[in-house]
Amino acid sequence: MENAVVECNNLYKKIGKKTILNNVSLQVCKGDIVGFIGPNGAGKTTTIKLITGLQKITSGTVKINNYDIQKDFTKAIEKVGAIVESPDLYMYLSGYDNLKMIAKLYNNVNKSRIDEVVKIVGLENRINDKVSKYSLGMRQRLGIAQAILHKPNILILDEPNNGLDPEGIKEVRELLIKLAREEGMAVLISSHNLSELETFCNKVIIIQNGEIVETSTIKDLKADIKGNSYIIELNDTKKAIKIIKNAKIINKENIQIECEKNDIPIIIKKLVEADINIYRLEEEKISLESAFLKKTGGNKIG
Amino acid sequence: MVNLIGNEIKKIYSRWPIKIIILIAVILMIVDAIMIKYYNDDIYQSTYYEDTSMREFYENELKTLNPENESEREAYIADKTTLELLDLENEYRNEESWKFECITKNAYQLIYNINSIKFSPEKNKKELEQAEKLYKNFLNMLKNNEWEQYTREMLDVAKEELKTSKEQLENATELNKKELEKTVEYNELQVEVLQLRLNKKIPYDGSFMDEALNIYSSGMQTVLQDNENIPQSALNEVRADAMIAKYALDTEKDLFNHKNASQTYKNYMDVVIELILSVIIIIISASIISDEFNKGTIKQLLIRPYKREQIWIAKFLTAIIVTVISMLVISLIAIVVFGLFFSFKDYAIYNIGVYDYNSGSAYCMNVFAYVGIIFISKLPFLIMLATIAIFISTLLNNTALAVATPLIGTIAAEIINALLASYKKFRFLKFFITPNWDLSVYNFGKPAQFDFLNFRFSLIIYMLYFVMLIGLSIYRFKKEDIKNI
Repeated sequence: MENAVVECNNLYKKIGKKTILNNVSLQVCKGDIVGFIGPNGAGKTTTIKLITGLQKITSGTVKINNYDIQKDFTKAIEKVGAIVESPDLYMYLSGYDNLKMIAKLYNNVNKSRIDEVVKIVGLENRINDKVSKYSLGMRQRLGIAQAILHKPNILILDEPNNGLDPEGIKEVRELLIKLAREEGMAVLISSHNLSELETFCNKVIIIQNGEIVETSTIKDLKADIKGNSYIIELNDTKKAIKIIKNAKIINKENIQIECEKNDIPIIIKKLVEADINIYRLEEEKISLESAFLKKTGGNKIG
Repeated sequence: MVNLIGNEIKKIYSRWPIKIIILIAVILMIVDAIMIKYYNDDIYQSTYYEDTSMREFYENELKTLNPENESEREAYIADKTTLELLDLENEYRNEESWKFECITKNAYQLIYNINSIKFSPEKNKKELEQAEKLYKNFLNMLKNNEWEQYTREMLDVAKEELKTSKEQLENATELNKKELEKTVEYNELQVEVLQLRLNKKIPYDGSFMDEALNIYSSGMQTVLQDNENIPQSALNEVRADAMIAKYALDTEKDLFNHKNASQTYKNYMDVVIELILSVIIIIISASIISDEFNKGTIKQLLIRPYKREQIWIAKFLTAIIVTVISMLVISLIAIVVFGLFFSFKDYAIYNIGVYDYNSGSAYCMNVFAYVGIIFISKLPFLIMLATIAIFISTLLNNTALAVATPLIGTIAAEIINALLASYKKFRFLKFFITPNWDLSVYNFGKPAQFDFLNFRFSLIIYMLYFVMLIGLSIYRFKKEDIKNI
């Protein structure tokens, strides 16, 4: 693809006899917010480390902004901002000093940019305190600050929402959406928090056991799940599932059934005729989680 | 690269270890200054004459011996002499220390001479008179400071002895020729020293000229003895000191005074360079790589647009630069502190004596120039310690081991030197790093401790190890997979 900011082709990573990554290929394009999800041990962090040059590639290529990470490392990494595993900050320095030191390593970051970034992540009041005094959420935010400091065109975030309260998560989400939409920043986020991802990612890459099992947009993923799912609240679930085939008991008061829309009146009629009281009927939203579970065959997440 | 180094330096000075080390250095310098300024070096304040048990011991010993008996005579004479010496020292215990020192150096021989004639079977009257006269002059000199008379008489005796030994040499056989040559040299030295004392008018008063003369005299005596048990390198140093003392006499410069800012600063900086800077450079280079790995902050460095070797080299250079900065900081504070304790003028007045082995002559230089030369010549050693530490640190990502290895290396160096000195079959150890890592031993043209080592050889070995360790470290650093924390 022409405007692929990050392009991985046929990545293999072997440590000894163990194959950690098996033929991993992915792309992140300009303006994308890609959710990179998979169970623990699937290879998310390893893939990110291969992309950022922190681990050696056994075979395959990684290109960032059309520069090969192995041949042209400094050019490839120049426009990359990343947090890998956890924000790596110097505890004994202040937040400001941390940012200042990173600013010195690039030639496009001046004092006003540092102040701007501090404002963006909302750390103006505490930026001069030592990082050891920060809460985890503040460190996360400072981590994002250092990642966007040099105006990268690709942000790679390894579980950035860890330790953030709902307010913080919301701020990060809005920030990332803004960066992607207004500044055309490409974003690759790995996470376990699937419900969060589905609200702002536009693409999803699912990895399991070192292999990519799915690459698609959120819409397509959900649409893949055939049929609709409905939840009915009634007073006698046991009787109900005897009457309606394929219905499942969810809890004491609810059953779930997958069926077409046209079947709904028939179902309601059958239940009423059996003297069952119906209190509520609604369409079940397909969450990314269930879509994910379907794809990965029900492996436990996280 | 400059930015990388700047960041590394900031990281080091933001933490407490370096500040504590410098603080310790400052405390040490203040203690040093106090000790030297307020505590006399009257180390000859003898305590043993207050302890009468020693005198009793010799008295009792003396009672058991019979001077008439030939086998007991030597012991009797020795004990009686010691007893009389103790009494003499006791008499002068409250006087100036130089008198006490003078007694310790000269009186035993004089008293011994008297007693050995007194209790010998022959009892030569003339010799006895002469010996007693010498002793009397000695006592006179002590009482009245009539040192010139005393020295003249000693000189006459020495000239006589020289004449005798020269005559003996002419009639020497192959067997005792060497021994007699040594005796002649010894006597020539005695004459020279006494002549110098008279010519330069140096009383036995512990002044700097007296001290210089004593250093020259005892030093050259040691060199002439050429005792097999003393290694050549130690003899070289003794000779160098003696030559510096001679230079001090010739130019009448006070090079041995210790109670001044200049000398105190020099001695203090010797310790700083040898110990404190080693500690600083080892700690920094041992932790500058592995600490970041262990804390995970290395990741944040490695995703910046810099090649890995640039990052490694920046860290290595930082260790050296911080050490140099620390040296300058400590040095500046020391100059001020010692200047305040003594006098800032001292730095201009009191110079440091230096012996040049190449030309065989001594000269003096300004203390700052001297300390500067010492520091620069020690830098290769410090850099090698850093190289070893950072090599282990890069390879194993373990700070503790990286600190321990160069320290163990300094201990191993002692063992290796001992092996090299004693056993020919360990000669291959000369290719190891430790006999060659301190290039400062070749300062001022000084020959190496062993004759199979020289500056060029050491330099080549040093460079080989240096290139090898640095190369391996960078190779490893470039190849390393950053593991999960």
